Amino acid sequence: MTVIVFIVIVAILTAVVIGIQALCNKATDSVRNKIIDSKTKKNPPKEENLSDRYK
Amino acid sequence: MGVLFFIIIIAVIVGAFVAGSARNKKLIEEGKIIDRGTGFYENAETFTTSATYDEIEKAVRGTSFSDCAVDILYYPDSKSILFKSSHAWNATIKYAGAQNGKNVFKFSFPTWRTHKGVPYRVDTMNMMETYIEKIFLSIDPQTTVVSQKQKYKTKF
Repeated sequence: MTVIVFIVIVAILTAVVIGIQALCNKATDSVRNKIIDSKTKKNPPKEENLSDRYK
Repeated sequence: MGVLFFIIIIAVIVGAFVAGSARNKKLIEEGKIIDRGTGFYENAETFTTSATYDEIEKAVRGTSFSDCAVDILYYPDSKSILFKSSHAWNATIKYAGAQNGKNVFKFSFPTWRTHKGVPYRVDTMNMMETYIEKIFLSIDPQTTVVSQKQKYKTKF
């Protein structure tokens, strides 16, 4: 009985940790993508000659 | 004892950083990579060129990507090429249409796996991008490029 309770508690805690990590990832992605949008609007990417990278 | 352990840890970190910098410098000197900004792999590169998909596919087939350890899959119907690296990243070149009589291709890394927030082998990603850029330049030296941050989704 004790073992089963232990396994259940570990499973619940694992699920909670995974859930929190997923939420954190989602929040981080959302903020980063908003920053990308904002920066792109302020400074649209510029066209350059590819050969300039190898001069 | 604790101080000695701390010093060893610091020495290992500094040693790894110095070794990494030396390796990067050597790769730059060999022309295998160029100095790119941090997080360059998050950017999509849009190439505007006179090169056609067939010419690019032919050049890719004639290039050895042994440093990047890639399997290459060709999709001529959708005019795209997928590079699957055993260094835990994928890269693609996709035809994105014609513009002012030139062809537009988009190169990006759609997926990569990280370790502590950094791709496992970012140097091989740099090599891959360098190979592709050199292919475009070899076909059309007037190729232009636009580099743009792409949105992505973290999975674990």
